[in-house]
Amino acid sequence: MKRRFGVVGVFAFVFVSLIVVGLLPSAVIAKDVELWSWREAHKDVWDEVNNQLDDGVDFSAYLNVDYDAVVITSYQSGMGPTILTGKGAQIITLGEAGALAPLENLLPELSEFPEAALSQVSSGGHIYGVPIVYQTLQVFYNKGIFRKYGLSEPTTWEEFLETAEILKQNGVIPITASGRDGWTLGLILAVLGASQLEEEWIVDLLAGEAKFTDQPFVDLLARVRDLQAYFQDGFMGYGYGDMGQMFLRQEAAMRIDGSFALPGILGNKPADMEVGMFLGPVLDEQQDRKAYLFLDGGLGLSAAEQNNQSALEVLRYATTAFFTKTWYDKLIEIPALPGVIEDKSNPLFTELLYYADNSVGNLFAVRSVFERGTPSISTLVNAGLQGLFTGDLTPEELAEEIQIGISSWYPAFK
Amino acid sequence: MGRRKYLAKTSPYSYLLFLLPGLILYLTFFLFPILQGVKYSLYDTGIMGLGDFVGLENYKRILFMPPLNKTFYNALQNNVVFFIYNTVVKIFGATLFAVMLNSLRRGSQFYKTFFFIPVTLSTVVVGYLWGLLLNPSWGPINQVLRVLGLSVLEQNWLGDPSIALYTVASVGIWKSLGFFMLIVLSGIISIPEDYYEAARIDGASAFRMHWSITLPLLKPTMLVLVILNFVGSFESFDLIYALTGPEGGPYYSTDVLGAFFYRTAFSSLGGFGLGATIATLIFLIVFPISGLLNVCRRKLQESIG
Repeated sequence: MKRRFGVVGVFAFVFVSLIVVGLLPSAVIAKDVELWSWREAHKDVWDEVNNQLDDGVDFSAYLNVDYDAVVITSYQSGMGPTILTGKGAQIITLGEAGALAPLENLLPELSEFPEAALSQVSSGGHIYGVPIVYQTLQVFYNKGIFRKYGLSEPTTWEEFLETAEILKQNGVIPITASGRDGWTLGLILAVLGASQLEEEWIVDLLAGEAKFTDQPFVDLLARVRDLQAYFQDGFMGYGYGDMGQMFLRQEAAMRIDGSFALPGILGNKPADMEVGMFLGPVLDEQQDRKAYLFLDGGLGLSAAEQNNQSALEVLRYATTAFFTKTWYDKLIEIPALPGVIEDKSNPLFTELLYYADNSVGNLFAVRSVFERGTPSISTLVNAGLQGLFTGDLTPEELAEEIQIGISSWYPAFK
Repeated sequence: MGRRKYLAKTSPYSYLLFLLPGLILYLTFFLFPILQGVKYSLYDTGIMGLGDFVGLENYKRILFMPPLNKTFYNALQNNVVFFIYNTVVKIFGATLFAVMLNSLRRGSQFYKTFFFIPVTLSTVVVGYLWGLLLNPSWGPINQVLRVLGLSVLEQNWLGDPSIALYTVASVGIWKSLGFFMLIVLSGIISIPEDYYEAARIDGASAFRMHWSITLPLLKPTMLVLVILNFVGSFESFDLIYALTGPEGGPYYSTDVLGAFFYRTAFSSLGGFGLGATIATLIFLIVFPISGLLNVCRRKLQESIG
């Protein structure tokens, strides 16, 4: 009898303890400000910031492809982070849904940021995030391979194809691509489209007065398809990591990617490998090449925590030149706050700053307003380009698919 | 005398008290989420909860309106193909290996462990490893085929829409075959030895014994495998996500209902109601069919005795 009560007592104690620990407020264990991001690399920045602030943040990173799911389910259950590092459309959507607090009255310092940056985290007259950095999409190339075959940076589409043809004839893979990770194919469309689509047409598209089935976009898709003659054999079975390895092993001369790849390229390339960049080629040499530039991070404040003074202190710090400099020192990315970083010693960064000043005025693909419904432009383009490259779709059919998909929810198309 | 008086006072419904903890768990973690999902599907559910009541509008969008209906039926078709391929290969493979294992005099424990190791691996790890193995240029699979002079069999395993689904399914079979094999093995072990004795006395060959005794008596076990496989195939998502991404590429050739649900509910920031609709439709497909298969299994078990 006593032994039975002893066993029951042990089980009861364990059961009750689990309930108590589970109900324990997290603030008893962790810092007052929980900050999430989709890039582990951001931790370096926040570790440095924690040395500057009294309270600091508890930083957590989640896998990029899981981030949206984690963020949505956490806010739905009322357990989201205090501060969220959000992608542009994510910040706006969460702000409109009431998950993030409007910041324009809480942080007057936001007036220091340019309208172009604030517009990508604002909606309905409210600013929902502190802009952090921009990313650009461009073509990275191996300068040594180009020099070997007497090639220079192409500016027009014809020159680009000629360059690729010369490389191919000399047994060099002109462009490494990843068909398995469809999002990388979407980058190709954005890079070429930024230079080759007229700004007026993009504005009309966003207003619903132009369509994806219009000839300029169909022709763009056809040019993207034609590039596959210069990709490595079997590229549809390559992942993003494989693509990166191919470029770093100097088996491929070019790689179409974002500036977010630059730290990885510079950190892992062979010592004798020189890397350059250029923007997507234009159709006509009279045109100006443009960068596909998007805000790649805003810091949003949970609506439930808008009175959290520690969190406001962190966000206030994020609007300062000190924070911008810390971010640049750790990650070498284009800051959203202008006039702080004037590093002329890093030629690649100088070039990125040039890209930021010569960017497409309106986004039409990844990170555009077309991301904010179901199906999103990313799903349609990423999967559709796979279909284009496998021959399942023609450019006209893909354009039609994208138009039908976006029209099912985008108000201007209805 | 005292004990009899105690037994006489026990309520005939006291067994319900013993069912209560299990019932609470079942209601909380099984029934409640299903009902919540159905509720979400009837609203324009967004990030911060229920929006406007839309009735069956989400169902109309998924089942009848382009482009989502095209995606849905493509994913459903892929699920069916996935299930049929999985079932045929797994049941054949599991039965073959189980019969061979059962006839081993020594080393059976080693082989059981060997076959079961992939079952213990995490799906993400399996997806990552096989993604490397299946690389069309430097992946070991194609390299081995080249070395053996079988270059004609080299494929773009995950990049060719005509074979990508079978490739992903094959990786899944590699991962779970050990588990199915053990289930079949336990079914074989439970067959009374008397039947085989009688067959040997009658001069039956090993093949004849397996064909006439083992396989017929394994039918209920195999039906269990079919049910498990059916549910697993229609809930599959993790391996496809790990190998070909949330879009089920290339060009939706590996897209299944689970992946469609995931990217609709989570990747587009505004499709939670639509995602709940897809989840409800998956439940409406899986539940009645698996129930029917279970009834067939019981009837088969009763007929065998």
